[in-house]
Amino acid sequence: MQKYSALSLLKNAVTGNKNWAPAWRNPEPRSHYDTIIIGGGGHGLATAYYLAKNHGITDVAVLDKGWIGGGNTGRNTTIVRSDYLLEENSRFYDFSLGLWEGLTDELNFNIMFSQRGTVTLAHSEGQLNYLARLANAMLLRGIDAELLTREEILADIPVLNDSRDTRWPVVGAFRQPRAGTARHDSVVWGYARAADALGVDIIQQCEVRGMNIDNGRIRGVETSRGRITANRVAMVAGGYTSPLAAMAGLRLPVETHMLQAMVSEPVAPVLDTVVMSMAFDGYVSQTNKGEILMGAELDMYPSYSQRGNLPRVEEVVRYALTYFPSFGRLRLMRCWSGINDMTMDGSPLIGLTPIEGLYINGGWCYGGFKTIPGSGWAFADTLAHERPHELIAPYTLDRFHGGQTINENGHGPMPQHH
Amino acid sequence: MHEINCPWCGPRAQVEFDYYCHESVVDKRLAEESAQEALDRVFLRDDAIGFHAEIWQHVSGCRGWLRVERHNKTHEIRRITPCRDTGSRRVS
Repeated sequence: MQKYSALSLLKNAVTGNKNWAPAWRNPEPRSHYDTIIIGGGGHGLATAYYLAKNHGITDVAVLDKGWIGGGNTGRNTTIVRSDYLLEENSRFYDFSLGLWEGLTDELNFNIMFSQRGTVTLAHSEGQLNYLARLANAMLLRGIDAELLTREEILADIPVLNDSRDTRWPVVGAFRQPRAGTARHDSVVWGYARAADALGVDIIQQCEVRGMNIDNGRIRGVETSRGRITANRVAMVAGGYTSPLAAMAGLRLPVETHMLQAMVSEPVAPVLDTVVMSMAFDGYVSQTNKGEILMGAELDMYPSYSQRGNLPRVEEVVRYALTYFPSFGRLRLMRCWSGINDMTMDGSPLIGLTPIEGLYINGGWCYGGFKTIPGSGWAFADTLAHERPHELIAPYTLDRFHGGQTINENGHGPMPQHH
Repeated sequence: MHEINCPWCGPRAQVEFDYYCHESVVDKRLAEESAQEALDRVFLRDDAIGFHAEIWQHVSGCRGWLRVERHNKTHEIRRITPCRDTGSRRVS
């Protein structure tokens, strides 16, 4: 792998930038691999990287039906945080956050991880009490968290609506200082380049169309570029988790929905943190390019369309303007939507399946981006040792029938409400 | 965006309606199924790309319950019938 550094920048600048090597190869698929990973998003590529790096398993192919990072990894709001109340989630998401902190050096690729903090606004005493409980739970587990008074948060974010005469007046806030955002494409490219350098084959435009299962054991996959056999197959295709699992005859606790986000035209720096709220599942931040980024809840009906509806755009904007009235002068520039494989408890499905040699990593609802490194790490360990890594052991496929759901919001099996 | 033809009110904008659940979740009575079947019904979903029967409610209209056959990728609506005519268990 050609190492990126100030020196390599300089050398290539002198030679007119004509000698950069491609960041990864573009190999033809072989007929057999030890491990096939279906899905070249953040999770799939991170899994491949840690399989090679931590476990020495390099006979690995990552198959993607389109281009790497073209699915949900490129259709989110790039927020990374670990402010979860439940022990299992707390442990796993914070492990992941720890990996993000060292990822730029680890991959020798600037992923632009910006620990600008995330803020959750409270609008009533009850909500503030909940946030105090959350912060205390996090502090007890050694995770950073702090509570802010109304005055403190208004001083920190001058552009925030300070009116008490509004639908959701700000009464206080919770902050996780270590949380932040990252550059989504860089994460994909960084993991792809590092995995490729360790011998992993990244095969784009190779769609999996069927699974070969024999006597309860996976033997390989049928793809648009022919049959490929493998000892292990991992389904890591967030958004298409259900259709993929159906190829293996599995019916999942998943219902697939759409989630939208949007950006305004770029403006000068005005918001240096990520703002969320207890009033709705929304978030507002400013991208490195200056756009005001907004997102909120699902479109609320099952969909694979990757095309959001206009009423939700209107609603998200209305939420955002409640907190930031001055943003009302901005024009919306772009919106997108991702396919969310919503589970019945709002937590992911990651680990073994009833079919030997077939593994699942999906059901990330709308929390997938932040867990890319942690999921890749723990899932690679799971594949290498053929048993769940302790960090992801609670996220088994069969937890629902046994009553061991991990339900952060307590909404029950109503996937659109998690 | 959907335009939903309510059997009672006629064609109305999607914002007047709420999606409730996949029909499979409510189409059986608890007494008629084993514990395993009940758990499957509550927690597992038919989630393939294609047409599905869903339960919607005209919340900002007549509040009637609808059975909607809808494609989850193209959003084409094939058929809408009142829930009471389909034998679906009433949801509330």
